[in-house]
Amino acid sequence: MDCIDGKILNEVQNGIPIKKRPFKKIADNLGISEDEVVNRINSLKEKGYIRRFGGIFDSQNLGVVSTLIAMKIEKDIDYVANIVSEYSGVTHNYQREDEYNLWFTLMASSNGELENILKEIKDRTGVQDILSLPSVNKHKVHVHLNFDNKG
Amino acid sequence: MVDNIDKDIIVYLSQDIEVTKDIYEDLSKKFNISEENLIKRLKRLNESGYLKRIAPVMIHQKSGYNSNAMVVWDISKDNLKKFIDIIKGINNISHVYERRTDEKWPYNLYTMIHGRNKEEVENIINYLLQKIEVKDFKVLYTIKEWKKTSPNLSKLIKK
Repeated sequence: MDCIDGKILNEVQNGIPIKKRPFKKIADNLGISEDEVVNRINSLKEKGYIRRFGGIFDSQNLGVVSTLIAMKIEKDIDYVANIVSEYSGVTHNYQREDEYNLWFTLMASSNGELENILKEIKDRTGVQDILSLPSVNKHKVHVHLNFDNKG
Repeated sequence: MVDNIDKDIIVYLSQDIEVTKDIYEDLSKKFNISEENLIKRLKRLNESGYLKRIAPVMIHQKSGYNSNAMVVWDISKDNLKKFIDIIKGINNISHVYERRTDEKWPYNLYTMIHGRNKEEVENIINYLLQKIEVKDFKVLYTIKEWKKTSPNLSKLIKK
């Protein structure tokens, strides 16, 4: 990743314009062609800096329900983590430094479905100590990282 | 209102899309609509709060951000708004959520703090501690990422 890549990422991570030729302005600002901007983004994807390029949606507005689950796992955390990761409604699953050591987000199309999945996970893993911590207010999700100056 | 074409667009865009110079023109062909029509729909979805943005989803670790901690805070109601306003101005913090508490878990505010190293994360925490009175807090560093994907909206939204 070079300086131009960093400048492109700093710009596009906030969203590309929703209008014709959305890469024109950034290309003009950087003094390169739109094709080069696009090629650089695709190359960052190939190199694994970008997980995906696409729409970022507010799932709650789309009617999706979700919660954050914390589990206290005393043994065989790998076994439990793998079972949890099998569920397509689980998008983030992290092992963390705490006695509650496995944290995952669970999404479903309804509260009933969410409860069913949670019950199934409990039954399959045998983990008893589980916290369900649904959000009551979201304030900021987006993070703007600086890719330009790696200091 | 969101119609079936909008839903198709939402599901398609929730995956990884090909980045091209005329990205909206190329996408519009997949839905058999004009580029103008697609842009009109995307603007509407954006303005009504369904679509937040069209952007790359970064892999922080690969970009030098190796230290990621979930920091949970127990903050009194009186201090909450002020604290959140301060957090909003810090670029390295994402996912600021108020969450339901539990008798075993009193923390009501959640933040993800991204740093190039632990020191950078701790500096941000210390800065926040100086600014606002905090009843209690906990730093939960990531030990292992077991799964991180984008939601499969085709399974989650009803048509």
